Amino acid sequence: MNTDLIIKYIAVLMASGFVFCGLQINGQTGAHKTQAEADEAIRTAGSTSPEWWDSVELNYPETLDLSWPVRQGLQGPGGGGRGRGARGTGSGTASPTNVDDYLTQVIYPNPPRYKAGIRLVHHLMILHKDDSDKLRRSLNMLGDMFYQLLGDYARAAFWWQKYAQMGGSVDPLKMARCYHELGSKAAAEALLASLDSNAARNNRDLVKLWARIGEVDKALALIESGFDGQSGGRGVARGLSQSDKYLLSAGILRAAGRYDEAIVLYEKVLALPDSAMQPVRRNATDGKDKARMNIATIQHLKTLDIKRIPDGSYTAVVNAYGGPMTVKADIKQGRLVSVDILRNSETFSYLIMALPTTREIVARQGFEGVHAVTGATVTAEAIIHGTAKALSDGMK
Amino acid sequence: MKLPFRRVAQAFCLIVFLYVLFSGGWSDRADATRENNLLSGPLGLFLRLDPLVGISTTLAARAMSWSLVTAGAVLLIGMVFPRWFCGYICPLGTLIDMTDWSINRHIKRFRLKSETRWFYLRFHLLVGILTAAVFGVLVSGFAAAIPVLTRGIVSLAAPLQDGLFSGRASAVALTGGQIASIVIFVGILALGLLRPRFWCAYLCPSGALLGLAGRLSLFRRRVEPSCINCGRCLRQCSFNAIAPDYSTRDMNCTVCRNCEAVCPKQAFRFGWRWNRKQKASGDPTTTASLNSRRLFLLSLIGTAGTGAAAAAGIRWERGRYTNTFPIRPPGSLPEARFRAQCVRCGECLKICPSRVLQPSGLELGLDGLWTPTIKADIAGCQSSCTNCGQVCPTGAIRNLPLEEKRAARIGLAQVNETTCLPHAEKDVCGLCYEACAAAGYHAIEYRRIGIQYDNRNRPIADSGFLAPVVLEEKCVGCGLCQASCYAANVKESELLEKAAIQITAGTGREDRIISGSYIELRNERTRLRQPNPPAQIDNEYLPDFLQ
Repeated sequence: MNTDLIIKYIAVLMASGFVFCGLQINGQTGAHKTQAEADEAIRTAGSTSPEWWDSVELNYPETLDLSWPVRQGLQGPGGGGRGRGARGTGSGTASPTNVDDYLTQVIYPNPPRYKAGIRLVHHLMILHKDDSDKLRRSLNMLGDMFYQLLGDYARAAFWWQKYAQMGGSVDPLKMARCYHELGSKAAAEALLASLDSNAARNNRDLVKLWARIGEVDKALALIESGFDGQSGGRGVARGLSQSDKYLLSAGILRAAGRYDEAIVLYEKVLALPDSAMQPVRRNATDGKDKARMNIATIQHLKTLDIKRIPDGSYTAVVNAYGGPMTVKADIKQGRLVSVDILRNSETFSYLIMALPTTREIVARQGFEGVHAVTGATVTAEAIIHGTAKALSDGMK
Repeated sequence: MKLPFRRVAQAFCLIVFLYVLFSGGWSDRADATRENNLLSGPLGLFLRLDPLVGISTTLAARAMSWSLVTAGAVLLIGMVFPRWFCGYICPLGTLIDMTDWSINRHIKRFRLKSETRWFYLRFHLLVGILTAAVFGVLVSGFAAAIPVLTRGIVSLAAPLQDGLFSGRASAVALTGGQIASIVIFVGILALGLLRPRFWCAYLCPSGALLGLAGRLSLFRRRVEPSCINCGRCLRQCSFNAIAPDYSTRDMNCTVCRNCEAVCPKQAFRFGWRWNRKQKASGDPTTTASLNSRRLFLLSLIGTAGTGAAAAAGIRWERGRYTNTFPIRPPGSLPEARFRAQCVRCGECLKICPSRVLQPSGLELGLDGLWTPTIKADIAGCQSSCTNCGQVCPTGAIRNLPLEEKRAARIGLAQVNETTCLPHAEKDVCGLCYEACAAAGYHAIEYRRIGIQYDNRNRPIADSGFLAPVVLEEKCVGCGLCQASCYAANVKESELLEKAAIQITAGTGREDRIISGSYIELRNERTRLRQPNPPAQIDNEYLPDFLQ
C-alpha cells in the first residue's frame, strides 16, 4: 500500500485533531506545548490540505484578471471606485475584473464563498510563484483568510510563517493568538513579552491576548499602568479614557468568570459624569450603555447552565451597533450546537469581524474566555449579550 | 322513526366536503395544514367525482387524467342507478335542498307557472361546454356543479375563516373574480325561488351528463297499472322527473323515492329495469315545447356552433395577452395546456397556507379568469409545501414531491438597483437575503458596493453597503424575498412604493413541463451554462517551491 497516502491520511487526522483541540480546550490542558512543539504542530497540520479542499472547486468568473494587478484606485473599472458617483449604469452588480475587488466585493461578504475564495488565492500563489511581490501578497492573504474567515489557526500560522520567511512582516498579535489556539502558552507569551516595551499598534488586543492566555492580572496591571494621571505616558493604556479602561478591564474580568469584580467596574463607569463619555457612532450608545448591557449579560451568565436547557431554538433581540439584532442559539441534548445572527443592521465589516465570536461561544460551550473583538466591540458584546439572554430565557 | 337513508347520505357527504375544504385553513404553515387535515386523501375528491370535470378537461387538454377515470366510474354507476350522484352525493344539491326548505319555499312570488320550455336547457349548456372543450377552451368551471360550488364557498367563506379565526395577518380584500364566484354561487341557490331544485333539474350540465347515463339505467322507477292518476307524486317531485302521464323521465329521476311516500296506492316500485307489469305510457309533453325531436337536435347543433364560436373568440382574446406572464404555482403545466386543464375550482387557493395563490380577475383575459396566480406581495410560496399540487383534481398543477417542487422554477427574482435600499446606498437591509437563506434556496448573495478606499488603497472598514444579488441558477421565483421586502419597506415603513425585488415569469425565467423531472432540468441547464468546463486545475496544496 502506498505509504505516502497513509502518512498523508494520518497528517490530516492530526490536523483536524489540532484544530479540534485548539477550539475545544484551548490553552488549558494543552497549554503546556513549547515553542518548538507548537511550530512542529503548525508544520504538520498547516502543510496538509484541509479536508474540504477536494470538495471545493476552483471557481471564478471568466472575466477575472488573474494577472492580479494592484487595484488602480479611483480609475478602476468594474465598480471599484468610490461611492455612488463612480458607479455607472447598472454596473453595481457586475462581477469585478480586479482580483482584490472581487475578494472584497464578492468573496468576503458571502460565507458560502469563503473556501472557493481561499482556493482562488491559493491558485494565484501558484500562478505567480516567480513574482516575489505577488507571491508574498498571496501568502499573507492565505494566512489572513484561514485566520479571519475559517478560524483555522494552524493553517493561518503556517502560511504566515511562509510569508515571514519571504520577508513579510506578520502581525505578532495574530501570530500569538495562533500559538495560543494551538495550545502553546509559552510561544504566545514569548511573542507578547517582546511587544510589551514598545506598546503594540493595537494595545487593546495585546491586553486581551494576555488575558486569553490566562494572565488576567498581568492584563489588568497593564491597563492600569498607563494611567495614574500620566495620560501622555508610554503605557499600554495610553490614549484610553477612564471609562475605556474600566470597560476594557471589566470585559477581561467577565471573560475570566470574575463576575463580581466586573460588575464593580461597570458600576464605576455608570458613576462617571456624563461629560466623560464619548458616544459611539451611529446608534449613539456610549460607555454607560455598554456598561448597562454588560451588567445585564453578567446577570444572565451567573445563573446560566447550558446542560439544563431543554432542546430547542432560542432567540433574543438586542440592541447592537446598527440597531436591533436577533441572535439565535440552538440547544440539542444539553449542548449548544450553534449561534446565528439573524435580522440585523450591522455594518458589514464589523459583523464579519465579530462573527468568530459565535464560533467561539459554541466551541467553548459557554462564555469563559470569549473576548469581545477589538474594533467591533459593540457588535461582539451584543452577540454575547444576545446569546446569554436567549439561553437564559431557555432556562425558564 | 325510520331514518331516511338519502338524507343521512346527503348530510354525510356535505359534512365531509366542508370538513375537507376547511380543515386545512387554520394554519399558515404548510406542515400544519397537512397535519390538521385528517382527510388529506379526499381533498378534491368531490371535484374528481363530477363527471363533467374529467370529461371536459380531457377533451380540452387532449390528455388523460385521473379525473376522467373517476368521471367514468361515476357515469358507469349512473347507468345502474340514475343520477344517484345528484340525489345522494352532490353537496351543491344538498345545499340547494337546504335553501329550498328553509327560505325558498316561503317566498311564492317568483314561482314558475310553466316549466317545460326550460327542460332541455342543460343539454345546450353541456353541448356548448363540450364543444368549446373540443376547440381547446375550458369553460366548464363556469357551470359544472362541483367547481362552481367549491369556488363559491372558497371565495365566500375562506376570507371569513382567515379573518375571524386563524388571525392571518395577510387577509386580502375580495377581488372582482371572487365576487363573481360568490354571485354565481348565491344565484344558483336563489334559483330555487323559481321552483325547488331548479338548477339541478334544468341547468346543471354535470347533471345533464348523469341524466344521459340515466337513460340507460338498470334500476328505475316503474309505474304499475294500479295508479289512480291522483297527481300527488307529480307535485312532490322536485326534479320534474314525473311526466303528466305519470311515467318516469329517466334523465331526471334521482331515485330519491320521495314519491313513494305520498302515493296512496303504492302504484310504483323502484326496481330493476326488467321488472314487468307496467302502466301504459303516453307522455305527450316532454317535447311539447319543441315541435319535434329534429328541431331539438338542430338547436343543439346551433348551440354547438355557438360553443365553437365562443371558443374561437376566447382564443383570439387570449392572443392579446401573450405578453402577460402570470406566475403560476410550482408544477403548473405549460400555459396553454394549463388553461385547458385548470377547471378553476379554487381548491388550490383554499389549501395554500400563506394565501400567496390568488384567483386572477380579467387581467389575463377572460380565459384566465379564476386561474391561480402567485401574488408575491402577499407572501412567498413556502419551501416546505406541495399542497396545491396535491389537491388539484385535474393535474393542471402537477403533484410534485417536495424535492421536485423546490427545483421547479416559477419565475425569477430581479433586484431594482435604483430603489433597493442598499443598492441606492440609503440604508442597510438584508430582508430578501434572509428570507431566501431561511427557505434553504440560498439564491441571493451579497455584493459589497460603494466601498471607499484610504490613501493606501485599502477599503475603509465602515464604508459601503451589502447589496443583494440574485443568483439566477439557484432562484426558483418563490417570491419569499419580494414578500419580505414588501411587508417591511412598502407596507410598514413606506420607504418604497413597490418591493425592490420582484418576481417575473416568462420565457427563460420559468420551467413548465408536462412530465419529467425539474431537478434533471436544472442539472441539464447547469451543464449548458458551462459549455466548456474549465480545465481541471489540480493544484498541490503545498507546492514544491514552498517545501
